[in-house]
Amino acid sequence: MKRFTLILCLVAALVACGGDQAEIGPNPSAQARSQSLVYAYPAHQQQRVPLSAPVVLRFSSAVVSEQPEQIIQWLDADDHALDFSVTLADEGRSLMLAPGSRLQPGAAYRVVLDGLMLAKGPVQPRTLTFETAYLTSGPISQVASDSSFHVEHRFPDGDFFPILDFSSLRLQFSQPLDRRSLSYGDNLRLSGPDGLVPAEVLVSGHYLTLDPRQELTPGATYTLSLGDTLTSTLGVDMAATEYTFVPRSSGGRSTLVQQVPDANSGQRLSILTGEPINQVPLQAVLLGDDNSTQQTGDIYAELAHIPTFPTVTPLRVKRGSLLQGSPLELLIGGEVPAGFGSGEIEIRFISDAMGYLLENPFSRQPDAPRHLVLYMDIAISAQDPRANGAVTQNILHLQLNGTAVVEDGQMVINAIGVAEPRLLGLESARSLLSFYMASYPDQRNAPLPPQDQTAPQLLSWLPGAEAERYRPTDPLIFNFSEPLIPGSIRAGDNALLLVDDEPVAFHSHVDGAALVITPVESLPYGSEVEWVMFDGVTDLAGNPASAEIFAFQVPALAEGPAHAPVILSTYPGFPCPTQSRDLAADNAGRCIGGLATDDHLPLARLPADRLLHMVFSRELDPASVTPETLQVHRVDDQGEPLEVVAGHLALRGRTLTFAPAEPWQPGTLYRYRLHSVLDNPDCGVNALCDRDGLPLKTMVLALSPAQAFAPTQGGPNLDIFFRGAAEVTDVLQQLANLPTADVNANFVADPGEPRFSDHPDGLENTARLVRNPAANPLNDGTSASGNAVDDANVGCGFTEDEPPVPLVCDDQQYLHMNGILHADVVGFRASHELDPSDPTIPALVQQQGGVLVYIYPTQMFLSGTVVHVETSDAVKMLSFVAQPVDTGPQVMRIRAACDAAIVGSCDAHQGRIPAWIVEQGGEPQLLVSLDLYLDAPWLDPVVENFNILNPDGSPTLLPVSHDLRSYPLSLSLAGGVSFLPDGRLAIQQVSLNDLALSINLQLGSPPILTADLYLAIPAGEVRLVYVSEPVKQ
Amino acid sequence: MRTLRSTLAPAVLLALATPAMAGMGTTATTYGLLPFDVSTAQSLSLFGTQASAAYYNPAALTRDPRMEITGAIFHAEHDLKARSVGGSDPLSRSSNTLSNTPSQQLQLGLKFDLAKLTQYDHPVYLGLMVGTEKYAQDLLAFRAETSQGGQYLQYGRQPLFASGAIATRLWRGVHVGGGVRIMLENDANLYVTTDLQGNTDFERLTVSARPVVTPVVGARVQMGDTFCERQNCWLDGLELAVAYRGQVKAEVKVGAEAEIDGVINNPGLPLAISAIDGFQPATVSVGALYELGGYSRVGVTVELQQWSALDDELAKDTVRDQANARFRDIVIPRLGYERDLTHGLTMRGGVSWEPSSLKDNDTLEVNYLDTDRIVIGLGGSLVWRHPPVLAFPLQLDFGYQYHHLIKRDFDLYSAHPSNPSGPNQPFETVEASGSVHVFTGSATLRF
Repeated sequence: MKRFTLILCLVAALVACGGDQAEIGPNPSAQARSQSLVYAYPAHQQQRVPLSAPVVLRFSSAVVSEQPEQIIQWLDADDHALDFSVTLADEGRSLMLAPGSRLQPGAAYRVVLDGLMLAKGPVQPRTLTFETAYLTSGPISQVASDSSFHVEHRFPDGDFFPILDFSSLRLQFSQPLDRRSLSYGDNLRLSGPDGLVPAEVLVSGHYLTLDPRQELTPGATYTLSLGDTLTSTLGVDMAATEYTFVPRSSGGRSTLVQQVPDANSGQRLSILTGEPINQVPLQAVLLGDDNSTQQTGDIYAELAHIPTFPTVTPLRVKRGSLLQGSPLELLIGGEVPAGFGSGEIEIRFISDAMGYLLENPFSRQPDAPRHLVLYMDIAISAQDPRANGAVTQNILHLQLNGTAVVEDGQMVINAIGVAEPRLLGLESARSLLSFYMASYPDQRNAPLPPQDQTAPQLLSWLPGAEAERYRPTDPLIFNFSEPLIPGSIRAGDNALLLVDDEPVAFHSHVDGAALVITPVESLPYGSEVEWVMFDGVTDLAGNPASAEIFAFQVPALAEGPAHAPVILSTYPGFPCPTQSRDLAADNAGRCIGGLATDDHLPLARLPADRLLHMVFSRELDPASVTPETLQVHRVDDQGEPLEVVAGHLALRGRTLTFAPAEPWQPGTLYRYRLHSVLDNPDCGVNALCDRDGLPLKTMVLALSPAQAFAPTQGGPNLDIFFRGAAEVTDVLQQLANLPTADVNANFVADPGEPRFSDHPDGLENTARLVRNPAANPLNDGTSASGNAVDDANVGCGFTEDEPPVPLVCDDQQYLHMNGILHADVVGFRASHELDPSDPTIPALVQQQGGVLVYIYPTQMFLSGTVVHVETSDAVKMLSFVAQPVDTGPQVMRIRAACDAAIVGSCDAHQGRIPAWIVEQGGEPQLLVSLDLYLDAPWLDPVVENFNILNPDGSPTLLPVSHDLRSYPLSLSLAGGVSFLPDGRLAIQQVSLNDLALSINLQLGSPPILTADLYLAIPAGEVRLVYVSEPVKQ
Repeated sequence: MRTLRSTLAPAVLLALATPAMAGMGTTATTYGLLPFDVSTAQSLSLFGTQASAAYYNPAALTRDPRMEITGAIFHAEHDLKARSVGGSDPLSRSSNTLSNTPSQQLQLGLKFDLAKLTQYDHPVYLGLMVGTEKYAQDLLAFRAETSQGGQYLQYGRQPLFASGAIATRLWRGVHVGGGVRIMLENDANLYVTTDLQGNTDFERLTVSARPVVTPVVGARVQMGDTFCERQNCWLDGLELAVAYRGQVKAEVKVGAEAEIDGVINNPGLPLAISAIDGFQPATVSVGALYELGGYSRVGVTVELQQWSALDDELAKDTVRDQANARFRDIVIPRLGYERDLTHGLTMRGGVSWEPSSLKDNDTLEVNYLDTDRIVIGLGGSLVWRHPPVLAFPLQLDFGYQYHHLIKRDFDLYSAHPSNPSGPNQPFETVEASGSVHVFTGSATLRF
């Protein structure tokens, strides 16, 4: 027993040996060394990033560096650092970098993260690269990534992103595709085992989506072929290409129903951007920076079988998915109410959206979220018809990048997308979408997809009731309440365009909820046009639009004397040949044919990315527009050409544009020359001509009727100089005086053209010239003084009574205006930003502030009228007979706001005329004061001298001179800014002051008799309506 | 409907859980079954007289004609150390002791003479041996995991031990025996649909356990009886034995299919795990026992253990295939001595040298530690001739065994994302060492 006890003690002692079991934890520095970026927008190596996109970075813990903007570097392709500001979100875990200046199109950028400190450790160094998107219109180097037209990207590519049976295919080109050259089945084909695959094709700019109507067969071979008849908007043909692929099976699919909640009045913020979730902001000069629509709805995402695709999991969101949005308040410039709201905004998926769930490329930590890439094509539409016309459009290839993680039993997706919707067809708004979607916890009882059973309703159409504003190259636009399926319109089958009862060929495409019909040949003037839509044109859910016939008449070209085309506006510059230039001093000279006392025009400035615009009174013959007849050069200070500027000419109707190959260089002098000759033009070689072969009349002013060119004559070459400038954010508008009675632009009131007596409410775009006895200092009730003329009347003469009584003839007193304006909408200026001592700013604007619009000086044309005079007894006794005076077409030049001959006077507005849009009585009004020069170059009063007869017995003519040259007038205009039902801007302007014209006549050389005629355009008798271009082209 | 979450969370393979005590060894091979085996460091086990011979050498069941019933209690105290030597990202360790989980067995052995049931005289012995872990609280002690901190290849909780054999005298002094060792192969299959919160529905669960057997055969030659049966010669007292034990392991296969509403269905997410534990290599033991003067015996045994077969087994193991662990066959020499003292007291001792079967100093993610060992055993038995209550003498055995682990350095590798060093570089180097103390006691009734 003793031994036993001994052993027991030994045992006890031994058992007590050994230490406590170790507690093992991770290396304390392991967490610090695993801190990294977990998400970035744009994604690393993302292409075609919108220009207004910020950079959003999210990290594994909060950023603690004091000044991240000093540590993070944002570099362009030349390693220049960009200025940017940083905002924090989600308590410092996310950073948003906003660049100080706009990004360049088609440029590569790098964001370098090195040295940034997070709460748990330093960030692993990383460099992100991305490339920005190209423009759809602008200098060619910013529009085309390459001189050849080819496919640059395919999504999915079949390599990293597998192509599945439910995939839709997206192509991105090097140049924008001209959709009129596309014919699915001919030059774009997706063929499979059963032949051509029926598919919907959507095109916008560089982007094309091909969405098969039925799912592809897995395992079968498909071929996507593009033919060489596909053309870009720059006129380049595509090299024929083929892609072959075999779609994989998506396996057992799951539908994940996700809710898109609202931001609870801006309370719920995105963890990525810090902005309220699911709010689609629209930042634009036209609509202002504070506008946003809150989107809500349900998204049904179909996931492929995840265990089969564990690292790159495809998913799709079916076509027809809908998000509803709160109404937008439409405020011009962000401040002046447009007078109507947008109604509910709808965002609809017009094709199957394709997406992929990816492993986190930045961090392998188990808590780093998965990434989501989703490509979608959406259509925006608004309930209010006018807002719909202004806003409805397709946005293709909107790329959402986000994170996906399961939290509390919900799959939560936070994603960022940047869209640049075009407003009014004029401006690209900036829109940063902070998406948040969470799956319903109970997927079995999630809401079912809403069934769309309402048929699409027509809200408005162009031209509709506005047929007088229609011009033959404008498209027909039908605004529906929801998008249509483009493929459901089959020309010749369920849709017909009839011109005088004959079917004609047309292109059709759907842009948002608008159906745009473009006739292949422009509609002839005066023709009866019918658009017939039968059953079968459906919305995305298959509900058919009701069959209807839409008819209108294209304004007729009245028979009348021919007149060569004139230039209504050039941007940049003034459309007249100039003399006395001093380009180095920014002095573009004065118009030839004006007085030597005329203002000198300021040298125009053209922002680097804008095109040259030239608008004519008649359509040009496309064959006459060649690089020989329109030339652009870089010039020296004397205006001598140094080198040719290559570029792309595009003619659409009466507008000619030139896109340079490279952006204009700021500070550099350029010249563009429009060629023309006086007579016998060789169209396309030495002159630009209209469709009747008449050469471009480049010069309209003359110091005497003998120097004035005949109506069908052309003119000398027109040189316009300008200097390149930096890009601006102003929105350029081209406004046309429509409707105008003078459709054939011969500046004569032809029979058949609308007359006042047909429109007692008043004709648009007219000025009424009447006699003005009140201005007569003699105050004897006549409107003439001097020893030659007793009285004058406009349009008709006098009775035979004593004293003669002027006859009444309203029709002949109305002068018809023909003009085009270019204007820049700059933005809202608050009252405190304005100079109170500036006399050009109206009092109302000083009080409230207003939206500043710059009007570019140009020339407008008034049709002529006949002034009848009662000659004095002296004249009668001298056997002089005065014939009624045909004024001929008159030219009204808008004077620049300064005189470039006076140094420094053009610094304020560079010669542009400031106009203001203010709110008055809840409606927007445009206020402007214009200074004008009025010229009547063809005014040639005929006074027959029966004292000296010609050999054939006809009387000789007494020379008569007049002073209606560079006649200064000041015009104050005001009127409402409204939106037509099709979304175009319509600006009404009515004169607020009387315009008094006192014309001095001198009979004989040297003058023996004089006369002063007193005419006027009373206040309210200048009635202008300016209409913007059709929203869809 | 139950939430899977509560059951899944602890089962998630956290890389830094409690240091793993998975035992690739078994009680019989790592320590010894009964105090006789423990105290002689298994050197005399080929010649054991107790029921444990059913495992070590069934032929030895014929050494003692009596039947017996044995109950044993076993406690192995581990002090296994892993001392951090350095590294690029060493883990934080509060002490050097990697594991001190004991192994606590309760064993039962039986030996019968089957011939007593028959009309025949020729004895045929049946031996059965059963051992359970944690004093019969844990029948299945199975663990398979990766470990960032390191885990010892042998030692730890041992799976159920069950063995049975029969033996008989073949001719003269040649005795043979054969039997089986039984281990379990378990299969579990789960089908479930769940939402993202873990609320399950439509569950289907099947679990089955199959015995796998491996043969144990042995032969024993009493040289004197065989070659000089009638007279004495120098071969008297010399006994040779050879035994072969096949390879066997415990295996668990888990298959699951989870369909997640709205995310994965038709078919669901397939999970499949197959892991082994308690591996017994194929072993050939050859031994010789020499009786010195009737009071003492000295024995020597050489064992060849085919651990290299574990390479392929681990390659099929879901948990450990990434380790690419390689093993080598080892030869274990054992030496033992037994001396009878007065009054029924016998003392015995033994020593063996057990090299490590683990070839590499690094095994990715699994991080096995295994060292060479010197095993020293000491013990004895006491026969209590007239115990109370019982009609037959009671033999009480006790044994003590000491393992001394020779120091060896290992590099730890991990491919876990939280390891900043990455999978291709060791994040830490540790020195494995330690000691094990084994205490056993048994009571045997021979009748």
